This record gives sequence, C-alpha cells and structure tokens, in this order.
Amino acid sequence: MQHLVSIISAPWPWYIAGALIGLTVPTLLLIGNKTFGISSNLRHLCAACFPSNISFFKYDWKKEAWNLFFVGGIIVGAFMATYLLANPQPIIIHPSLQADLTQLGITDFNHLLPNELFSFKALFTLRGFILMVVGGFLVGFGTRYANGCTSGHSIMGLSNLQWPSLVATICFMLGGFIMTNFILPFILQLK
Amino acid sequence: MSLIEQKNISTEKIATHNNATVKENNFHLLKYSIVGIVFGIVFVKAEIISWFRIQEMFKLQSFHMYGVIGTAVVVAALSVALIKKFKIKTIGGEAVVITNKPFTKGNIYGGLMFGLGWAMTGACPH
Repeated sequence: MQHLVSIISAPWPWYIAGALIGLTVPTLLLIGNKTFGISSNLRHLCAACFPSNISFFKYDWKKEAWNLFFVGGIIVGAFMATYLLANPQPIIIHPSLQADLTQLGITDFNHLLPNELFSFKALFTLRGFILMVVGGFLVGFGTRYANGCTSGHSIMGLSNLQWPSLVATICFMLGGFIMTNFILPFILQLK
Repeated sequence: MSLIEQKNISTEKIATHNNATVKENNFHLLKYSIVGIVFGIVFVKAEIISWFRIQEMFKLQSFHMYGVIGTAVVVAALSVALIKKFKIKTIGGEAVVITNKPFTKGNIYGGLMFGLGWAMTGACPH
C-alpha cells in the first residue's frame, strides 16, 4: 500500500499521462457525442454571465453546459492531486534551466510554478505583472482567436486530421519558442 | 446582410462541441465532471501545468511534454479512426459526430498569441 501511494504521488511518466489524455477523446465521444475541448469554456462563461449584445456571445451556451461540468471536474481533480496526492520531493529540473533561473534569483523549485514569479506578492512587481496579467491575456485572447487551445486543436483537431489544427499547433509551438528563447530572458531580468 | 448571416452561421458551427441530439439534465452532465476529475489529476501529476516543464519543452531540454502530447495524439487518433471505421455508436445509441475545425486567420495570429502566453504563464487556460 505504502509502495502504491509512493508510485502515485511521484510524477507520472509521459506515456501514462499521454495515454490517459488521448483516451479522453473517445470517452467523451462515446458517452455523449462530445468533442474534446477546454478553452471554449471561457466563451461559455462570458456568454452566460454578460451576454450584452455581442454576436460572438449569442448562441445557445446551455447546450455546451457539459463543457462547464467537465472543467469543474478538472478543477476538482487538480485540487485532489495537489492536496491528496502531492509529490513530497522538489520538482526535478534540467540542471542548465536550474542554473539559469538561480542566476536570476529564482530558487523556488518546490512547486509546479516558481513562487518568485507567480504569487500574489509577485503580481505587484513589473516582472510578475507582465507574466501573469499580460501572459494570461495572451493565453485567453489567443485561444479564442485561434478557436482552440492545445486540447481542442493539438489533441482533438490533430487526431481528427484537421489541417487548421495543425496550423494552430505549429503557431502555438512557434510562439512558445520565440517567447522562451528570445523574449523571456529579458522579462525575467526585470525586477 | 448575407455576409453577417454567414458569419453568424460560421461562429455557431465553431461553438458546437456537443453533437448529441438528446437533452441531458444536470445529473447526467455529472459524468463529464468525473472524466474531468481524472483529467485534472493527470494534468497535475504529470506536471503538464508546470512552468518548469513548459520552459524545458521550449528549450529542448526535456522530452516529457513532447512524449505526453505525442502519445495523446496517437492514442486519440487511433481511437477516432476505430470509431469511424467500425461506426461505433455512443452509449445512447447515436452515431458519433465530430465537429470539424474550419480554417480562420485566427488559427495563425491567435495561435501565435497563445504560444507566447503559454511560455510566459506555463499554463493552458484551465
């Protein structure tokens, strides 16, 4: 039993996680004809809370209520994993990434995110504000503009051989490479 | 006028992730929450929402994220192909319908914006 708990609380390998995520697609299709996606919920929430007179928010969001239930479950599952199945060890990080970050004063390697960058306190620093608020805006606006995120495009769309999803996925990766390698080094130097 | 109508129709198509013809009450919708719980546990336990893992992916320092996404796509694609080939029905007996993804320029501009934000926050929108 102790052994089982330690296996579950250690970080899960990519093939287990990948297989489980992949299986979400047929599960949703077969239990209720639902196409896998997460980021549409941003739109459903807006349409439900402030429909105003915007045509983008005029549609039958109640028909998509299943997606809100799905995301509600993801949040519950994430809390369960964080508080009940927490990994007692610090996160294992590539040594050169760790060295780069340590040089920039980022030394919290105990959680999924470094506390120095993502915390309520960091929100009031230029660096934290840019990462959380500007980054959050780019993720939120970008995913709706692109009509899908890594779930809807890269997993659902690619598995259904949709070429627009391949275009979107290439752009996700391109944006990520540009940010991480050319822009983020400057942002991380800000105080 | 016709242009506006067409636009409305196309956004209507985009919004649909639900191809079931039967209406489900809130109790039935809970089954999606259960799938979500499993999914949420995987996201945290496999560190897919870790800022460090995303940094390693874009610095080509770790195979982890490529392995996760690659395996997920292969497993999902095989499942979709099997469902189509054998015309597997839903548990409610309906034919499976998958919404197509129409191409828009947003796939490019929005995709780039999402990628920039993904590398900053280390998170997809969940």
